[in-house]
Amino acid sequence: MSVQNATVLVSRLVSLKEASPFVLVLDSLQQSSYYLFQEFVHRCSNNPIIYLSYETTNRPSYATAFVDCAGLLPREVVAAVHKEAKSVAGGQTKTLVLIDSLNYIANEELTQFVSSLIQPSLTVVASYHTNSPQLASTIANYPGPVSLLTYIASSIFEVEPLTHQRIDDELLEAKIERLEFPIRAGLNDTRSKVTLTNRRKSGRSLIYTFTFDASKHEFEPFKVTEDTIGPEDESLLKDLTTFNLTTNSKQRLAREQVELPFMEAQEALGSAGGAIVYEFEKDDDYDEEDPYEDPF
Amino acid sequence: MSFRKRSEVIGGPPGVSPRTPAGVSRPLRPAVPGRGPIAPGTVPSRAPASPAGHVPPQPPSARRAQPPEIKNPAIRPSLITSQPTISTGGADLDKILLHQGLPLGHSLLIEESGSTDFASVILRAFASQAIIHNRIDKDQLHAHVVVIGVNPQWSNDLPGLYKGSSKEQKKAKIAANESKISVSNLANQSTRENDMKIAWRYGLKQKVEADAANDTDYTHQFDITQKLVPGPAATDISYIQLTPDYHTIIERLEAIVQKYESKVCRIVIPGLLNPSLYPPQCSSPNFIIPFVHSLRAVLRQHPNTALISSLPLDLYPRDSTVTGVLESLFDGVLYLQPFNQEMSQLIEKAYKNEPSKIQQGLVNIIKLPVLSEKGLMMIRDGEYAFKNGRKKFEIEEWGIPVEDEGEEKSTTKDIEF
Amino acid sequence: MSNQQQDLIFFQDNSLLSEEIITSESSVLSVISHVQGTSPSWLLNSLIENGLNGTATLINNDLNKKRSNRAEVFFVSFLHSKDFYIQNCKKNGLDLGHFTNFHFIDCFTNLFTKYIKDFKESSRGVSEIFGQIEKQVEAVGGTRKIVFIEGLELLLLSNAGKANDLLSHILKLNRKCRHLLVVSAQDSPQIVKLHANTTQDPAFEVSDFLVKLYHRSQLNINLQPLATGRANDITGSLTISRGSVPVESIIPGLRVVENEYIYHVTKDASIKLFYR
Repeated sequence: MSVQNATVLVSRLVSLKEASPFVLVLDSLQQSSYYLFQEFVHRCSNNPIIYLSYETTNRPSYATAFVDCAGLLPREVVAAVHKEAKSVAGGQTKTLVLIDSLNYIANEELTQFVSSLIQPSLTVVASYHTNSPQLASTIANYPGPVSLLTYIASSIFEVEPLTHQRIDDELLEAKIERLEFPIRAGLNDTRSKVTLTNRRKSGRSLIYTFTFDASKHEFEPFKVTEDTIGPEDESLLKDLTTFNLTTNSKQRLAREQVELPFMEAQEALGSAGGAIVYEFEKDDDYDEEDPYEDPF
Repeated sequence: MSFRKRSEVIGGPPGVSPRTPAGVSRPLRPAVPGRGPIAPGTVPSRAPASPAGHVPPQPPSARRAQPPEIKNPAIRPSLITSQPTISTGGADLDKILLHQGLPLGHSLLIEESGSTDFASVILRAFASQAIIHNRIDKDQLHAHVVVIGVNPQWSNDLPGLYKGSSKEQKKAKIAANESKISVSNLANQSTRENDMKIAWRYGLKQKVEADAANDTDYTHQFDITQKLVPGPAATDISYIQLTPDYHTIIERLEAIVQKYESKVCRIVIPGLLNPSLYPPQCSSPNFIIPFVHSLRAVLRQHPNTALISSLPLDLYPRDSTVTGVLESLFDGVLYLQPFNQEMSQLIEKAYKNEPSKIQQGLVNIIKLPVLSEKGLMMIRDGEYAFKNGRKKFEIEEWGIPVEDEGEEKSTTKDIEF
Repeated sequence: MSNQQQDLIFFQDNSLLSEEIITSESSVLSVISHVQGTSPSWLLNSLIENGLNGTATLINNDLNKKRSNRAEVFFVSFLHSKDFYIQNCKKNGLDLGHFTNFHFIDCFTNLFTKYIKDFKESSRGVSEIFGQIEKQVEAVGGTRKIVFIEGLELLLLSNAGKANDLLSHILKLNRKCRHLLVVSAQDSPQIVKLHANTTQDPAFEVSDFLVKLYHRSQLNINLQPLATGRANDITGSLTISRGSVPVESIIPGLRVVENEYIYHVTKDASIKLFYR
């Protein structure tokens, strides 16, 4: 049941049928928000779309209105959006406002910017790039941008690459830290992992994880085993040398059936925690006068 | 290595120095006695600041059809790229740079970690080399040194020429005594000439040789225990003091470089960002980066220049942003890494019977002029070591010394439980 | 590791600077990054060649059809003089001085002596510089324009410019051409320090700049020395990866071919590339 709920929820959100005034998309250099944004566009083909560009060079063809925000103050952007919103307003349908990046707005101005942007007729979908270095706030104790944005957002989409088996997580992190992008590791792929956090009016917060396939426009509940390769994936062993390093199924079966030594012993005596217990028997000899004799 | 193949014409004003004999209109190439005029354009250096069509008027007597072409002995074509190159004053250093010196228009940074200061030995030899070049030919200057950031007392620590081993020095004394008759003649000339004659005996070939590549004028060996005597003249060396505004320094530098544009202008910056010399504001990115960047621009615009500097890594480690930027703005970067105590002790033990083999540290190559910029990977870590000997700053291939066989006997004793 | 020498390509149409981009109405961004030890100038020389006349003689034997005036190539440098490129491109068989469609914009020679003199007014200086660049690009007719820009990190590291300002200028410049290639050093931690958190740290602005730049890029090319240590016959590795915004979203049908090469450059500019 919850599977169904999850897919339904995400579909409603992405097509703007579910009320969510501010949708935050957290992306990274490993997986950009691009495909998710495209999904919104795909499902909102009947809604007017206002595109706020801080870093987009080419005006997208789907944009009803395009606001060039580079160099503008936040309040100027808000004014421009409201102006455009009025002119493109489509009656009952919500207007989708896409913001390519919130990273260009100073931390202390972020909440003000977002809250003044929000209007009942709009759904604001904005991306924030998480790899950007974070300036420590000039005001003591003031939270950083990710904390702030995730707090005020009604829905949060965290986008991650599906790299699980293709590259070691630590290695990937080390490379990204140096701005190196490994190839054939599933980065910036049409298939990605998306974690949705949706705040309900009741106060409850629902969290679902999906595998998102942009080319098929599908959200599928994320299964951990889905892209884990079996523990005995021997494809890596196939062409290494001229020796046959693989096992065929008969051999594998035989291997499974081998009884490992000491398995029984582990069950019986192992329960004693491996303690060696000495039992004095009739043939043993105990010397009472020897001060170094083992005690029982 | 034929210089005749190059056909670039040197445009330039006649020598500003009063020492330039009248009639010589190509001061970049000092007269080699006994040589006839060479075909024009044989000097391998690029045209200095004044572009074609901008040659200032020359004195009437100099406007000959073919002025006697003379070559600046301080310049030789690079072994790798054939571009004009000068000696750093250290033969091994020249070799490790692959060009057999430092190409004109380029810079070299010597980074050093630890409490030692071997870098200043290199910088001082670099300066002395220029001054020696000015003493090769009578009344003909080939070089000028501009020192930035220190006061003129720095001249007092410049090394003199290596006069040979003690055996060779004794021979020289005897030879000098034998020619006592001519000494009285010599006494009438300046003592500077005297020095040159003695130095001349120690390896400089006869000038009448036809060979254009007068090797031994290109580079000399310097002895850190010998002071450069006599000291440099005002025409040999200039000093620029630091100012909070890098523009002033650059402007003064350009003025000097242009004044000596027909000579090799060596720029020396000892101890860049050394806190005893540089006030704290100089470490700010607003100063140090534009300063060094502007120096790079000066080098590229004035092909008669070359620059050397040193940086204390303990204050500005290699992983700091400042050092990272300096390494990208300098054309050549070497890292002198003195051995730690453990390694020093191992070396001393291994060579205790041959103290001349003891090395003080590693020379790591980070960047080589011209080659690194072309895209070649020139980083050589831990492949070379240096020995700061009295006679010269030696650089050789590095290998961890194996202990002497004589030591093996003692190990049998140590195997006791 | 395959022993067969390879031709370098970026896109699936077997091109480096694809014709699809030059003839489109959109603008593409690429980032060419390198570290100490592996300078990209050999690659840039070949890309200049490719932009000017369609060939890339030293790195791709297939691209051998010469075509004059293929595109207007602008090269903006904060680090090198025009001479540097003229000298080095000779090995590519190019006499840059004779190409009317090659435009070198020298932001190096007078950068801190004329354009940015007073650091209190440095953002004005930076605007002036970019104003000049844009003017020169616009002054040339036509739309087939390719712009290279190298050494921008110096503006950030010297605190002459802020990341957002520079990115704004870059955006404007990108829109004036078809393909903008930004060349940057990215040594870590000297230049790239993603955990820098104060503007006092010059690495902060340049790291911010690079992260945001990468988020706009269609194509990333990275050069670095071999991770496994020095080899006499290998200079380094070259990785081609797709950027955060897929090129197919801007130029339908075009796709980046991701690849990792190892390469060797000699002082005579002979270049060999192999698949890793």
